[in-house]
Amino acid sequence: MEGIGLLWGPTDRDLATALNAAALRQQVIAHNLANAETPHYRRFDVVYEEALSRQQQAAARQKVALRRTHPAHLARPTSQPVQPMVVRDNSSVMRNDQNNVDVDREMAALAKNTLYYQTLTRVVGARMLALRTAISEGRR
Amino acid sequence: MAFLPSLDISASGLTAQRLRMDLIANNLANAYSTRSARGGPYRRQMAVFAAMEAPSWPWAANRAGATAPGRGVQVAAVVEDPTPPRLVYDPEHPDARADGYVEYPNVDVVTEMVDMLAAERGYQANLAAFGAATDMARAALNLIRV
Repeated sequence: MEGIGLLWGPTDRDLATALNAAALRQQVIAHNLANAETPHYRRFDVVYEEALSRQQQAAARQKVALRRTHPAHLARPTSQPVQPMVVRDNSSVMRNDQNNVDVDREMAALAKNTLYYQTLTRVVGARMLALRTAISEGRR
Repeated sequence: MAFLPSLDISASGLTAQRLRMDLIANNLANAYSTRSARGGPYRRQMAVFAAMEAPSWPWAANRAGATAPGRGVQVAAVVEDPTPPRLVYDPEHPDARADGYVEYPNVDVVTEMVDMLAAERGYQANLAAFGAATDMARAALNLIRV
């Protein structure tokens, strides 16, 4: 799979992981909203983007890294892909029943996550179109 | 499909809020029922929500420190409000006690109306999550459309 090069390479692996993270986040938000009025329920969160950014920063500090001509360029991580993680959020309780779900916050996260997912599917679609163009020798 | 659990979770929220709405409607309909099958006035009913925790989660299973969210919400029980009945002095009422007081249900119409609004909002929030999941699934399906 890695051998094909341009397509189905590390970028596609990262895109697939990001799509999985967004799908997982959708489940977590749905679960938080379903339990918005369950006593003692504590909301869940998905940790992915922060872990990815941390890994990229760590990769940038390594001695053997991609040569980057601009500090804003992303370094290609050589380690395992970052997997999304489900964590429980035990922060700020503002209600008598110890439930910390804020419906407004969850709705904003829901909207953001849907847009994020649709953006990712567009990117994957564009890459698939490029592959199709190559297969059909540019006739399309 | 990663979206099927999501739809089930949102559906559980819709079901729970609908059952809560049914109970509120029943409470309002019986706000003045002085007779019940068990004797005495009707008693206000309440739904007890409980989170359905999942034993394992695919992404979380192989990670230390990660916990797993559940499969949505369920109505664990329908309980009766233990507050005493409302007493109204009306000796002419057929269900009046010897001292002339009638026991009316412990249903407070204003409380029920507030609960009704909360149930409605909860239903809408779950419906929005359901819609978002179907939008995402549609975006994924469009990828395999030639």
